[in-house]
Amino acid sequence: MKRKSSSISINAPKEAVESVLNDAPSFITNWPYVVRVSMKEGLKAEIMMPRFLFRFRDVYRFDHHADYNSHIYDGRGAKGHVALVVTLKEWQKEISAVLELSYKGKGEFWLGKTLQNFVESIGSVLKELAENRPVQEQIQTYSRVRGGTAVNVDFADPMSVANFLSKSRMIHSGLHILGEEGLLGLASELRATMPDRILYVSGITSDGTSSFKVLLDGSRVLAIEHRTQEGVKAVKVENDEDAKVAFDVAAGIRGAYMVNVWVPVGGV
Amino acid sequence: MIRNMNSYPLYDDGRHKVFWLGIEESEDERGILTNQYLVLDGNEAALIEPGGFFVFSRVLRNVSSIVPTTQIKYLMYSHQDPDVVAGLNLWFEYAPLAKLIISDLWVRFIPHLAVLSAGRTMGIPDKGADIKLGDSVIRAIPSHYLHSPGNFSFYDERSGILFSSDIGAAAFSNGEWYLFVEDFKDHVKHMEGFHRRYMSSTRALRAWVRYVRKLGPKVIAPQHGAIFGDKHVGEFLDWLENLEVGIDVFEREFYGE
Repeated sequence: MKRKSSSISINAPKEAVESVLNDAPSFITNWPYVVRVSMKEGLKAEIMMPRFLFRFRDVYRFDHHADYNSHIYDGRGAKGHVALVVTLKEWQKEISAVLELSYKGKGEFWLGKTLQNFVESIGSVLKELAENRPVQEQIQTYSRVRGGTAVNVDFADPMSVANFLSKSRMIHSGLHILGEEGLLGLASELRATMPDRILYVSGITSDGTSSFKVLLDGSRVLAIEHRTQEGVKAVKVENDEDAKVAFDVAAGIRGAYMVNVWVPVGGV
Repeated sequence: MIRNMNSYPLYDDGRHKVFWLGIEESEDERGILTNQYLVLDGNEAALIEPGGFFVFSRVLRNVSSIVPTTQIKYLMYSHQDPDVVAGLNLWFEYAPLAKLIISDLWVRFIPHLAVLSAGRTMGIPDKGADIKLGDSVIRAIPSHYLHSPGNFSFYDERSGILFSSDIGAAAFSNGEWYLFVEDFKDHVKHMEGFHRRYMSSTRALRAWVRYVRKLGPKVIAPQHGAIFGDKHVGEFLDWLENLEVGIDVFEREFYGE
């Protein structure tokens, strides 16, 4: 039998993690290498583990057992036996999960690397599912509604941008040269012809090596991101100090950029 | 609700790679799960059937884990349905160097998605086109009236994978899903109703089958449902060839004698 383990910290209440672990069909469906799930006669999942040019596939019938701090998913297939034990640890407000995966069956001596990737990916899936449970979403939705969608755009969170863009329309697209004043010069140029208070402006060089996104409310920068080959600078402005950093980032963006401008139009 | 957030490699020869990008069903669309695919050749990528708003987060996450979104050269749309195109404004921003590829018929409708698409849209003529991706070619195969009047399948020559749009779509029973077809006879029950009602014309279907047989794809990957490989490609084409669909089936029901 081959065993591999992984541990992961989860930024969610223990109840959220437990609810993911208790819904074994959804949890197992999201494991990597799972290519088929059936719940007609108990929970059956087909897992296809790749190694080199080979793929080790088997259909496992899963049983789920739980006690006060651990969950066991025991899968028995025609050619192998796979078992995952997830043990939760709670220390002050920190939740962590230790995952141990064991596999006995066809190809077990070759599958060490695949099994390690398997257990680490299951850990990532658990973290993502738990951190996105509805209880968290409700809290975030409340703050978004209260502050307005634009105020909540944070370029470190792609979905906050996606939510904004899904209620926006593009009003300009064109090539612009950003000179001595950097992005601030472009903002002034756009303001001269665009009456909308909130503007989302993005730009990218023709070779894709440099790009920016900025959200403007009048002359104020609400959030900015500048991506270059050296790395990413992203600022969500929440105080005077952030505003100064955002100003410096904006002033330093220069060159020829293909620019898109979006404005919010409401909607669901 | 079925939701698989992982990607899965369908083909990899070192330079050329194809990934399936996970699956999920919306609350209001039980059983209809949408597939998205990424084709990568060297440093250039094509996103096939990018999908609607609610799948965007998962697709973006999976694509970004494989390739920077600035390397996406094409956003390829088989037709104009919302579950295919509704995330376009997001992809226009997140894949800022990508061009949109869709049937010529739908090019004029794209601005309704609130984007300025001139200069970023490539319309495919009715007879199809060859689209160069890195050193490889993706062929746009006419699939008109199956079900949209301006519809294309996309054939990746290097991998032999045919992305078949809604042709081959399956609606699973509640709580059931699989990525690859294994029992074709059993799978038919998930496809039959969809094809009879959504596909417009038996004649169009048979013309498509004839064309595809000449291509000889190794794999057929639809936008909904499961992927056909090996012997199931032939079984699927045989089944389609003998299927009556659309107005040929429903004329009397809709309009009476």
